[in-house]
Amino acid sequence: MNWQMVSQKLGDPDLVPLPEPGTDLSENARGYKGCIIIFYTKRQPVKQGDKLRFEEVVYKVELCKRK
Amino acid sequence: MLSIDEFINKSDQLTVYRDFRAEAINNLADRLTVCIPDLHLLEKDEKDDFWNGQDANVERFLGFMDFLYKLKDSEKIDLEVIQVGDLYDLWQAKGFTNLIESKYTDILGLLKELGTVYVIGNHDFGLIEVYKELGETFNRKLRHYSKVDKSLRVMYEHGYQADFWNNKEEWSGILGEGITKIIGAAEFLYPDIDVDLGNLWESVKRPFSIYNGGLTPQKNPGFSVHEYTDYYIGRMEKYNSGDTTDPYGPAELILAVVGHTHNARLVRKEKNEPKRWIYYLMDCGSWVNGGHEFGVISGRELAICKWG
Repeated sequence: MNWQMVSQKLGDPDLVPLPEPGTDLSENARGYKGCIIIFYTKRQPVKQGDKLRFEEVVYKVELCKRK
Repeated sequence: MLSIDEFINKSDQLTVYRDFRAEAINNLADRLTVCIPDLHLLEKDEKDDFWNGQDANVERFLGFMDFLYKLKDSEKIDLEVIQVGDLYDLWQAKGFTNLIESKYTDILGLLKELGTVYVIGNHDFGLIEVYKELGETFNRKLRHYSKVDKSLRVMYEHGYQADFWNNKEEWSGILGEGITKIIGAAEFLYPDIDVDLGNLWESVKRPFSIYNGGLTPQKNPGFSVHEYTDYYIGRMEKYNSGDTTDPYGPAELILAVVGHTHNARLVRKEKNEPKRWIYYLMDCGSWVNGGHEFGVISGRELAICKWG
């Protein structure tokens, strides 16, 4: 899932924690307090004609069941 | 290795900036080296050339990245890319790296594909400081070197280390410690205070420099004064004489590459004591405030170029 699709639907995230040690800086986590959802994102290459470009994708979602 | 002329001839977007070009006596690097100065991504003010509504500036930088990527990927040019600090503006970007990564996927993705070496600046040194205890710096480093024949030839630093207000060697005693702490604390409220105070100091010194310069014949108008010259020549002399605790072995440093001031300059200075050395300081300029400069090193050649 493209991160832009998430952010357009849910707006700016409430929680943007520091990246975990040992990971690439592009691997981030973003959370929404109201929905209790954490999205894990990373950068992924895409081809636009002959140019190399990148988009962020959500590669994992955590849904918290209890507050 | 591509010469600088061959490099420039690869694109009609490339030119030498203000004749800032020189040739050292010895080789500086064993591959074509491109040094990208300050970008301050997500500073989000009038100085941020990548912020909203400035698509032309983003496209210009991406065009430059596409060019470098083609050199490396398609033409198999041995290329080292060094970003000399303040890539991120962590002072201003709420949410640490998260929002910067989200906003600038293409810029950061291409820099990574180029195998960029990241040197930290005063606006992104948190990438080292925050994780220091965990031993994680995300490939960020305080400084970088180019070696030729196992000997250090070029030192890359952001440049804030030389600021009058950040350089503790400029101060001494209790008064100096107090001033350094006050300036350090003030930076949290106003991040550019060290640069602005430094500029103020330089504006006081400049009339005297101009007066002295007017009495001195200028052999090469392409070379300019720089407030960091003595600091970095002093640093290189320490390395070259073995007077350093950094375990990097033999040093024949003749070039220091910095950013930070957002004002591209190339300085040449000859020293005859204790033996003859010709030193260079290359300030690569910036990609903010309308700047689009970068440094290039190829064998013995060095130049500041601009894209577009």
